[in-house]
Amino acid sequence: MRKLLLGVCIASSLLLTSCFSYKDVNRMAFVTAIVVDVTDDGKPNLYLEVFRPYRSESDSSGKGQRLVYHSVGEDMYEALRLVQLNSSQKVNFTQNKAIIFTKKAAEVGIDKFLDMLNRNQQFLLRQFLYFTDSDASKFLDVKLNEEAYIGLYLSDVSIIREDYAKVATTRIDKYLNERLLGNEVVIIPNVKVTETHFDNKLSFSGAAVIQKDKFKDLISIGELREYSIMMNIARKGMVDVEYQDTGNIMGFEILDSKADTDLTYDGETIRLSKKVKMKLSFGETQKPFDLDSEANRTKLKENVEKKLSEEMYILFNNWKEKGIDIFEVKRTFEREYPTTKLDVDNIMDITELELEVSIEIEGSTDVTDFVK
Amino acid sequence: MEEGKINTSQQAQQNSTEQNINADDFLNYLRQRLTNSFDVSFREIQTDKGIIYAVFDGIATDKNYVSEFIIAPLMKCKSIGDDVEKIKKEVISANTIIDVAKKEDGILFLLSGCVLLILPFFNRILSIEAKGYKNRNISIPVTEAVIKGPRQGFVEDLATNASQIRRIIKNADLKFEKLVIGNKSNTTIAMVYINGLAPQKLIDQVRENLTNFDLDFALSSNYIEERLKAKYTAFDTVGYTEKPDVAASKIAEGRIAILSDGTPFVITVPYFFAETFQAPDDYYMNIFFANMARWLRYFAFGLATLMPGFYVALVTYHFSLIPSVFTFRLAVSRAGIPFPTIIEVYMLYSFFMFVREGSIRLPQPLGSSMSIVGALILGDALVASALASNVTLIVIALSSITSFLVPRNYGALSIWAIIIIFFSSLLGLPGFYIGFILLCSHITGLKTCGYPFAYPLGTLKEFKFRDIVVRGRLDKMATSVFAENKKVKR
Repeated sequence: MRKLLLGVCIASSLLLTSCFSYKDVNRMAFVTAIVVDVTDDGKPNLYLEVFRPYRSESDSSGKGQRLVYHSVGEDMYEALRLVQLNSSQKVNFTQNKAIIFTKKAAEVGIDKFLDMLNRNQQFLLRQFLYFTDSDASKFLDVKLNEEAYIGLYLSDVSIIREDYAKVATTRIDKYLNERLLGNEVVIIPNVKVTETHFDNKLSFSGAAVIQKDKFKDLISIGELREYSIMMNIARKGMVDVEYQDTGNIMGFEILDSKADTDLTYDGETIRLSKKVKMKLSFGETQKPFDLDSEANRTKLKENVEKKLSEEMYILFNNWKEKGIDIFEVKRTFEREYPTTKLDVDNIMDITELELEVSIEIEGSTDVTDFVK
Repeated sequence: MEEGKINTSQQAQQNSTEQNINADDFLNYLRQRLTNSFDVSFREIQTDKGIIYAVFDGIATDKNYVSEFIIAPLMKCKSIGDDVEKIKKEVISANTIIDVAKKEDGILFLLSGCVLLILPFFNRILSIEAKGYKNRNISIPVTEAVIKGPRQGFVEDLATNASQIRRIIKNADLKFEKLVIGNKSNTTIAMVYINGLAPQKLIDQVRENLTNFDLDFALSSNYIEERLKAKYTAFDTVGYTEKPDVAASKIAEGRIAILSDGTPFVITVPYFFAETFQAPDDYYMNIFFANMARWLRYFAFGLATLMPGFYVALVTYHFSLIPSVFTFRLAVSRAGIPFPTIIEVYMLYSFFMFVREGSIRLPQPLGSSMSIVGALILGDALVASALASNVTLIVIALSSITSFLVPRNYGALSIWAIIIIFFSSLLGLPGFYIGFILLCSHITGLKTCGYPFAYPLGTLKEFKFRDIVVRGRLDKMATSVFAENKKVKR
């Protein structure tokens, strides 16, 4: 029995090497970011940022080298295979952090490239998706002082930052799910190359709306704040309010935000109810302001609530006019009314927003009088 | 020493009353057998009845004792009477006097440090115990240093070792069963246990194993160890200790200790896997620190055995499981190294074993020099010459260092680490798991004197013994390792 068991173990070790085989880590070229563009005739046009280890000739230490590979293929599979021709080391995608679709590629349709990214086991689910309307070749030319590798930089930003950049963060697993739900709308961060006096930078600039795997429109960074509050994904951020047309702009830090969504359908109209509760901390005032005054504080609270409500209505109506369901109305409707069939082409046409914003403003302390 | 059921001295005594040998013939026999043995003296003592021959081994006996308590009384005695009984009862002042009847017994007594008195006129031979070996003084045990706790260690003399155990356990049920093994070496050993505490089937099994031991020379306790331990395994399934307090605690837990004349190491059986992680200090230090140290040993065991294999699996198959920044660092550290990772790992492992073996075998001053040279070669030159990466070096060094925390199983750890590395190199993590499962099944499949080696882990019964992963309070721990917890209903 023991001999049989030992035989099975050894045989399985030797024979069951189907999906993977021995490879040394130093003989790999690791891809950290892929920029997916298309040629004028619609072929995948890939730019890959690659880490390649090599041993320095001057001293005994090893070093890493950043390379950018470029390839064009009939399809994604061929383009990725052709990349191998550029490299003396085997190209490995397990460390890829970012897949950036250019505007051109997103307009053609992300679904053309998606199967390869989903099927190949080297592409892991932890990759982040990004959109850029900058030139693909320039994107990977950006030299960042903070991080040598753009892929690592982008993923660090997506993981670490907790403000609006986080709102649109989309990993490939999330994208693969959401592209099939509701109105098949997914938003992914928009990253653009910004030219400054000193050098070029990458900056997060709102998000791109992708519907049915095709680029539709951009959400500005300003809109993202209201969007994140309405969609209950805001955790950090700030709100600026002008007080009573006095020219005094006051800043508030978002400490907590919660939005309860409810959806009702009366046969004609869908009422999307959003009850937003926020906790803000007083950040700054441009002019002296008497916070001891209860009346002032009440007025200030009303101002903030009014401003946020207005901006949310504007955001909602703006996207309603565009006919794009970025608020997951259809998905919520299907969940609430699974058996009801709608007779409209676009669910946004019959959707009305009902908004209730309630905020609480905190200072550094509630104590205003230490002497009783 | 208490006489056991099977006792060669007792047998010899019984035999001596049953058959007699001719004293003159025996004297000639001795002269013939012990030709060219400079240590054996034949002393003639004139008495009123005739000459008494005192034959003794000058090295094995205490000469002063022989002169003062055996020869001098005989010489001073004006009349030794008509019977040997007067000599035994009135003349000789020694403790033990045995009648010798068989030639072989006589030789055995003589070489064991007894004086043979040959009385041709009575046609009788007496064996008088007068042992006087030169013994090493009791000293601090080298292999089991403790911060706090007794410093005494066992020595090579069986009687001294027995007295050290007796000093700790003053109990009439503490038995010292004397056995002689080795057909030609006639090595004396003693089975020590507490009657009523050690399971009878264990006592019977060990006794049977030792009495049926057909061996010419038993030169050290390791002969007994190999006789009792499980075959085909690198794990020690027989314990040993150099400290009387440890041996006493094992005996108090219901185990059997085996003392062997000429060896300062006392064997304890059965020896369980969990004992590998126990140290004498555990019972003398603060319970919390002692437990932390024990967990550290378990963790070290895991690291020493599994870490090199896990490392090989990760860096040769599963890059995706390593954080990117570390993957790049690994790749950079291995850049330019001409060997595959698996060769590099085996090479470094071999180097560490060379250094370890060299350091142990060389005399102490040279051993430390060897360590320095080894550390320099391994730590600096290897990396600088691009023969090994510093990450692999750290992994192997850490594995080697952690294996020193469990010195009892150093050999087994090294062998199993090599096996797991091999499987990992063939199949990555599935290979690693296969190796790990093989290790677990090997450990659980071993037996120590009829008990599972992993006992009481994995057994269906609930045991009172609370000294496995954590040490319980000393006053709350069950006395016997075999005590079942009958209150638990299963």
